[in-house]
Amino acid sequence: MAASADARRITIGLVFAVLAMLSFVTGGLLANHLVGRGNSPVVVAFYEAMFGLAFTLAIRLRALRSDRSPVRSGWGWMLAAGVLFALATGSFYTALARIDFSVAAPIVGAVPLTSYLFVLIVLRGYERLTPRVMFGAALVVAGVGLIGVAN
Amino acid sequence: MGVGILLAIVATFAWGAGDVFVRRAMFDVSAELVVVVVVGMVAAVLGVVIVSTGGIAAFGGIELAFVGIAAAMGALGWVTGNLFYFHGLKRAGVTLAAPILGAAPLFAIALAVVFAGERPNLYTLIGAFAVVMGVAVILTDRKRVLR
Repeated sequence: MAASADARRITIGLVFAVLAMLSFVTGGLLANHLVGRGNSPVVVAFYEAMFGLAFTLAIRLRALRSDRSPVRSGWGWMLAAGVLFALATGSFYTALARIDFSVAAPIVGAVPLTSYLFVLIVLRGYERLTPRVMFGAALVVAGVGLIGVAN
Repeated sequence: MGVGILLAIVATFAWGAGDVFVRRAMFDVSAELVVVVVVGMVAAVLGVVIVSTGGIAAFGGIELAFVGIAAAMGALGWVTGNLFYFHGLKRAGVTLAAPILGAAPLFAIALAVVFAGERPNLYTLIGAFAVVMGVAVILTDRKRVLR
């Protein structure tokens, strides 16, 4: 009985993960469509962020009201993350104006690897380098390199 | 290597670093506030870039279809994407849920072929497969996580 409940919970989790992945990919495809029609990539990214802000505020306002004030270091990390995400979105959408979505998407698929590299630097003591990780990283770098050379 | 490829690589590093900064911010701040501040900051930074390069006029001349698509992108990227992913992580765990997100490039290529009529070359397909496999190898390695 417990095993069946576990299997059901995991299956639902996997469905959620697939829906999340489809959400992100569809968003990228829509950006590709807007940029391909001659819209400025940065303007597209700006309007996406404005709508994202409106939706998240509408959904999470109640939770925000009950929040305690963040400490100063928290603000620093959040603002820096915002700048980096702005750079990422602007760069990615500008890239879509120059290369196909099917070429750009696999390159940004390497985000988990770059994320991992920054975890090793910023969050020391949380993760470590293992031979298996190095093998995976080599595969990712080779894949991105192959896409870069072929296009 | 072309400018488009370099920009995609810049985006990859910026997203990777941004993800870690968000994770670090969540040590001190709730997830709700982090998302709101980060997306607000993204809009502010991009707004400043647009005004300084093209002036206020750059915001104008927008069609209704553009607004609808941008709204859908905002919902997909900042609401359903994150929401579904957090629920997926909670129920299936990171070792099962994370590689699914890592497979996004393969689905992106499939959608680009079907809906945008793109025809990626064989090397791009092999490269995408290598990226997905590499990410899966990294994300499923439990020994890398210390705490």
